[in-house]
Amino acid sequence: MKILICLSNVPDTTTKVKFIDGNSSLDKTGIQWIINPWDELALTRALELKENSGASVEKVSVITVGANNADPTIRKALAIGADNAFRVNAEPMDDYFVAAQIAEVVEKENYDIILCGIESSDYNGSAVGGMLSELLGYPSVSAVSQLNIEGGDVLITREIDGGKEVVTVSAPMVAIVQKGIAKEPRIAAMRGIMMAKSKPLTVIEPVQVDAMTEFVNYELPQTKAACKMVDPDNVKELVDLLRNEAKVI
Amino acid sequence: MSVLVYTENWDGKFKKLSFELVSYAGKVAEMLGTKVTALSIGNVSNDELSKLGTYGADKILTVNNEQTAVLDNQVYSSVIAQAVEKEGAKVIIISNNNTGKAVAPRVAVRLKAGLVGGVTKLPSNLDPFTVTKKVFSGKAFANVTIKTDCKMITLAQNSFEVIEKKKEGAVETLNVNIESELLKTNVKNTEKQSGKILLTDAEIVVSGGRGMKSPDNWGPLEELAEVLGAATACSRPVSDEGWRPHSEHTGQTGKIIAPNLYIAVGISGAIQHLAGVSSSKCIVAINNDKDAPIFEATDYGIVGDALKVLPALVNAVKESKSQ
Amino acid sequence: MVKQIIFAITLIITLGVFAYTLTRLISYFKLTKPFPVKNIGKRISVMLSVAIGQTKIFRFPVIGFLHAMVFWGFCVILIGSIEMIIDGLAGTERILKVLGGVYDIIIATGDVFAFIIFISIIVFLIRRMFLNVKRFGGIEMKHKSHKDANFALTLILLLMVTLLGMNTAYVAGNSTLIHGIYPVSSLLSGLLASLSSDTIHLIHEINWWGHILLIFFFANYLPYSKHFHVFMSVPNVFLSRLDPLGKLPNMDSITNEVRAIMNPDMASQETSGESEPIGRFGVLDVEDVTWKNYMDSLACTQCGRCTSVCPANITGKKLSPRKIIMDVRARMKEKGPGLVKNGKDYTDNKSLVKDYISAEELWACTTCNACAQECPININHPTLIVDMRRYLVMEEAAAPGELNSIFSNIENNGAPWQFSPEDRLKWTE
Repeated sequence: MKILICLSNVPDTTTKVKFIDGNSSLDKTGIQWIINPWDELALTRALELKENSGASVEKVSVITVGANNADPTIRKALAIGADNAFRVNAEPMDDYFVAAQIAEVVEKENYDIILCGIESSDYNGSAVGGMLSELLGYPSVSAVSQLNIEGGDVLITREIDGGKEVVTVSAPMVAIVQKGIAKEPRIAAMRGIMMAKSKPLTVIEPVQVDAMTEFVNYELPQTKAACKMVDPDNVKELVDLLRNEAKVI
Repeated sequence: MSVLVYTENWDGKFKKLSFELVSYAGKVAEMLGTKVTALSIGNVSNDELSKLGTYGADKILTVNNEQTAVLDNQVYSSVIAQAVEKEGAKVIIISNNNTGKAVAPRVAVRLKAGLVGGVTKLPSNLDPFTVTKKVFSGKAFANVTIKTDCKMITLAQNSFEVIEKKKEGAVETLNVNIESELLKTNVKNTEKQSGKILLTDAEIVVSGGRGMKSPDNWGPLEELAEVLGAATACSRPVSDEGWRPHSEHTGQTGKIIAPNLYIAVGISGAIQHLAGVSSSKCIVAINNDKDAPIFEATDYGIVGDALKVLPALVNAVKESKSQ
Repeated sequence: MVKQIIFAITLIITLGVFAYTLTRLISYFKLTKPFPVKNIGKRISVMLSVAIGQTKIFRFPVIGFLHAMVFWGFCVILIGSIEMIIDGLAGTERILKVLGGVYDIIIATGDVFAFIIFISIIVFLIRRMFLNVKRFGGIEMKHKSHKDANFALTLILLLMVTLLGMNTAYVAGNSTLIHGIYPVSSLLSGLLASLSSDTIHLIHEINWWGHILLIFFFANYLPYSKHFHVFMSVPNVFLSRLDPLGKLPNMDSITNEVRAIMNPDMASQETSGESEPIGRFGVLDVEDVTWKNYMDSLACTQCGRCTSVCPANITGKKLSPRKIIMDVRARMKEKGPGLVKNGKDYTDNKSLVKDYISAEELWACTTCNACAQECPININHPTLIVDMRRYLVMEEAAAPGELNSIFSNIENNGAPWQFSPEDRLKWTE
């Protein structure tokens, strides 16, 4: 089985976001780029499956749509343990654009399981996995919290409101994964970092695709009013505030 | 031209979420000068379906086949796409819950419709069609234009209120054509916990962190949740340690919730936790460290020992209820 | 004459067995990694204080004093043993008597020490067998460790008995020409006064042969026992690590690698063409330890002083510094033959780390160095533990989750915590 993980190159969670050009684009100076946390968990799971000989995974690849500022992030994925990587050399315009570019590559390369994180921590889009599966005509399962391989089938636990459901789907398929898919993200060991230098990173030119949406501009939220502190000996005041001022109870 | 809204049901019943969606769709339809069609998939009684009319649905389509008994993303997206085509709908509204996230993208590709996920407000502009969503895990808002003829929106949970607006709400069964090989998801078993208020549905959430010191101290917290009719939640270290179930973990890699009131007890306020709850309407924190970062994100706060404050708060709530 | 021939034969057999043991040990040493030895002058001074002066042994004052007596006694008696070998081969009697007054002093000291050692060993045996001494127990102390200890102590006891027996018979049997002074044995000689001179001579011969044969046996038993420290302790101290405890040396291969990462241009200049593949980082199995680590494991007496002061062990964690060292010795015994026979790539599908020493033990170490400070023969456990951690982290990224989070945070935020680098100076406000 070959597994492909779709990675999103995102700013680190602690980044203080700022916008430039009349608030029409993100100020990228000083940003530390990381692998989208859900994608990192997906990659960890794929590597766990590869190490578990019963699952018969022979190759774990990663793909990103991004400019060359995404290369260090891709090398990190290789250092963590992916076998090879693809980068479609284009800025990720929107979910559809990204999905269409990845679909192009998958059609040539033939993957059995494609993993996508359920959301990216930058633009909080959740559509790439679903769009990709529709473009490829593959079945998809979302909100996946556990994934195992049994023979040619993929055994999945997905979260439903108030519980879980265990389902099987046969490959090729797309799994859109969330928390629980791996306990903690794996990090790169020194050995991995050294080996990553020699693993293949193929840069592919994008195909012509029109994005269907456009991010026009951004706004920062209004600065929150300072927190109203209530004396611990006077909790009644808090109840009053919540009832009469905030009107939430 | 109409607006189509997909209203999910749970065991044949709608939730507040469904009515929020219809209300939203109603307002959008008003803006566009058109009508609202609600789509339901599954076994839902006519009585229940007609409830959607109270919130603004002009027409209610219902689809109930063998193949729709189980959520298969391809089947559901095929059904929704067929409904859209039949109605000639131009704006499609789905919730940004797990089902919406699973299905909406597939529908978007089928219909070549631009999709914006996690929208928080009514469109700010109709031409070009522009909507607003949160980005960078709540640190900013983005205004996004949908360039295609057909437009799709998934609405962020708990971001629009329920508006009653009685409309005709005529229920009609929709016949759809589902290719047999489309159903690929085989369900092995389903596990549902009943009774407790679901975290993602709850309007009030009481949450505990490592500052609670031990799982044995959760009693007062659960009591507070009970008197408030709230769901319980926790931070990541608490679920990692096994003090509380994983389903209660709220945060960037856990559940992202947006209740009306979020009470954080003994939670320091790490960025990933806040990313999961920052969309809450009102946030309260109880922590014995006055410098805890969480107080920068809260509306109200108490600096004190949780184990003393919680029982006092329970009593104060009970008192104010009886008044 | 016959006596000399028989003696020569027993000596040759003894030396032969010893040579065989030594060859095997050397072949294991060859499997290990290098360890630099410099600063001979300082080493001599450390050896004189720690090994000869028994300074660390005295940290446990009462029992330490008794051990010092045994050690110093052995040093003196060693001279007598050498004399016995020369006597045995040459057919002489007490040949070193030519040293005159010096001989008297050596022999008198030895005689007194023999008695002191005798008493001390009795104390040690009683203590081991009847008192519940905490540091003699532990998960790594199997039954055979206790048997080994008691057996060795008993041998030493018998050595002293035969030495005193020999000396007493010598004094009792030679009323006129006695070489050397025998404070203790003279007092004891009264016990034999009533026996015939033939009987006294027989008693002398039995004890003489008994003593030297016990020595021969003891010498060959030691390399297989925890008491190998009798041979190994002084060299172990001489060759021990002189760096301050807690100093952690950089690994050259990593320094170069990090330089290459920080300056990619510089890297591409230096590594034109295929560079040598870098060997394993850290220690996974016995072929990764330095020869000094292996020597430590051979010299270890299993005294348990290290474990008794380990804060992790005291608070109930799985770590026992003694166990780490004993596991190295046991693992080399298990894997060494295979490696010697089949070469470096030999594997028995087990490893020191994971099958003998668990990750839990390794991560429990606080690197406080109490164990290294306490060890009477300067075994350094923490550097070995850190080298094993280096394997886990640098080859497998198998550090505890909290550490991995710290690594990620340092990489992304320049600090161990999840705060924006822009907030670095916030604490000054």
